[in-house]
Amino acid sequence: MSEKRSACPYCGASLPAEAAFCPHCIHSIRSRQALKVPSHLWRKILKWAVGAVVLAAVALGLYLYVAPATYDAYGEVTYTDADGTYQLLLTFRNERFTPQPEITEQAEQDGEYRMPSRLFINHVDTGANAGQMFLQKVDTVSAEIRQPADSPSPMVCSQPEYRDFSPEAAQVSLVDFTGRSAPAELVWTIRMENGDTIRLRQKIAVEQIRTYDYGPEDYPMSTMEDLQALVDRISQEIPLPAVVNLHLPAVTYTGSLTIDGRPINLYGSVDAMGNRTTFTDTVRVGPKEGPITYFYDLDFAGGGTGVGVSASARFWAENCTFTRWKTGVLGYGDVWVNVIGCRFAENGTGFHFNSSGSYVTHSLFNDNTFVENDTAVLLEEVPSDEPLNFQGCRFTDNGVDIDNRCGQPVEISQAIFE
Amino acid sequence: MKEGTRGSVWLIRHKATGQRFILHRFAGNAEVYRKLLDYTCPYLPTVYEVAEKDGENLVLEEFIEGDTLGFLLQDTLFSTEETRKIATQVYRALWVLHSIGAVHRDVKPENIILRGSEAVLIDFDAARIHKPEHENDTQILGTTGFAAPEQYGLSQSDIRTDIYAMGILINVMLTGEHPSRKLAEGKMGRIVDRCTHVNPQRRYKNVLRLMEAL
Repeated sequence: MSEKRSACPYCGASLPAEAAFCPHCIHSIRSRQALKVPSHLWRKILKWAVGAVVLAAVALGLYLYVAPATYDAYGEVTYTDADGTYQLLLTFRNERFTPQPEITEQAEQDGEYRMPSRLFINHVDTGANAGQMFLQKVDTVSAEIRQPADSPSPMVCSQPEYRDFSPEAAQVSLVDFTGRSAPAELVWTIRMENGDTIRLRQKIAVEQIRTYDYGPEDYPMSTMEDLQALVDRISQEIPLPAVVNLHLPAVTYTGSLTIDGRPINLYGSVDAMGNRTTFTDTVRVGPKEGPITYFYDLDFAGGGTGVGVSASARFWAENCTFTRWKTGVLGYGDVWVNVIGCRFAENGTGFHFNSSGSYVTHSLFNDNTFVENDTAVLLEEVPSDEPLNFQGCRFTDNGVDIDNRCGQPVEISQAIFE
Repeated sequence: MKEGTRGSVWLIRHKATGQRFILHRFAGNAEVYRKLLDYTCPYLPTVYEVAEKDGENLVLEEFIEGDTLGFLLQDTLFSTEETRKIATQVYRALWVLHSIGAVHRDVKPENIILRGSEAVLIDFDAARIHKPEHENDTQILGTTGFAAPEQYGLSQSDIRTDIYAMGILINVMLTGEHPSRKLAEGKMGRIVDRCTHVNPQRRYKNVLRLMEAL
């Protein structure tokens, strides 16, 4: 014990300094702390809260398991049901396994374009095309374009359906746009019979293509030599994808013309005497790449032989005449050719389609006039099984109106035969 | 009151007031008693004074008047509700000990006195301040049957040693038997089972968890 002393605070008795207890008055002189067991109410609350959260999570999981699911993605979705796992993808190309979540198309400002958005459905395990089998489990398929309300030229799409020209695609929606269309989104909605919803999206943007116009005021083009020289020069100087329009004077060109460096559009004209731009020799259209070559308002007047327009590249003739040729217009190779609002008269064959490609430009061959041709239309071979629509056409005094050798579907219910 | 190899216990009376105290003389470690000088708990005896000289300790503490559980268990068993109430009070006492870093290490019916409706845990002779760096207890203390395996040198005693003993205590209060012979039925049996798991890691981690389980 220490010699130091202190006094009891209760009785004043002298105690050792470190004493905790006074034996005189039996008071404890040490301050004491009462330790209490912490309330575990909060633990109970926490326990209940955790329990509630777990219960809610389980309920949510159960709900998500049994409730209809929604899938939403750009380009591609992987969907699994009791029968297997499927890859659903959208593409504008004819490629069954490569999704195309976005596309930027080049377009002339006022050009009108159409492209097919294709839905492919593949079985993931085998890679087999599961399109038709999968569609049996589908309730509805729809497509819509989502775009700004103030788009200068709103895009439109057709409702999805099976299309012959893309037989491997489960369905196809055709998207129409112009060079002035604002960026948009194509949304396919596939509602399954089990309640699931699959949304597939594609972003579509349009990049305007520059257009060059050439007229007789600025460029010599009144003879075939001048015209061919100009065409050749333009082919050298103006790269794709720019569009070139030649506005031709109302003259008659003698000699053949070849357009094969790049697509060049020809626009005919009429002079004060009513004469139109006329070609008396064959015009050959054969650029290896680039967009469609358009001919407007031209007369092709032959001498009973040769071909008026021979096209091995995509070609479109509108409001043109083809007279006294062995063949007025020949489409061959692997390209699609359109003639619209044209007049075919006194030819051996007015329009001859002999192409084995798969690309379709447009199914309309409307408002043509076929007069006194040996054969007005010869369908030897046509790309795809897309029906050719001759609505508004008039067939008069032809030896054969339509020689459909390849058995191509044709729509003639709105054509006139006389 | 008691004279043994580990010390002696005397019931003494204050001459002036007549109040009774326990004077406890023993050799060994009085660290837990000294710590308890600073605390008060209705389920622990108040330690009034601790002195030490030449390795011998003298402790003056509160006299708890009542019968020990050991005495009562000679004639009767306790209901589940009674057991739960008493066990909860003992846990509160143990919680105080554990809070100051001590392990009682001798929880058994003979060291629990029922004072009216309160159970008081007594006898801290075997108690030690838990030192995590010790691999094994340096002495084998405690009472056979109520001592946890690690007290026999398997691993160091910690608070789960007391939880083990509480499991045995609950089982004895309900069945009169060690759980190895007869385990209490139902939920209490499952609690006993977890309290007395050989691996301390598998027991309740602290008395609060055990109280929640009860």
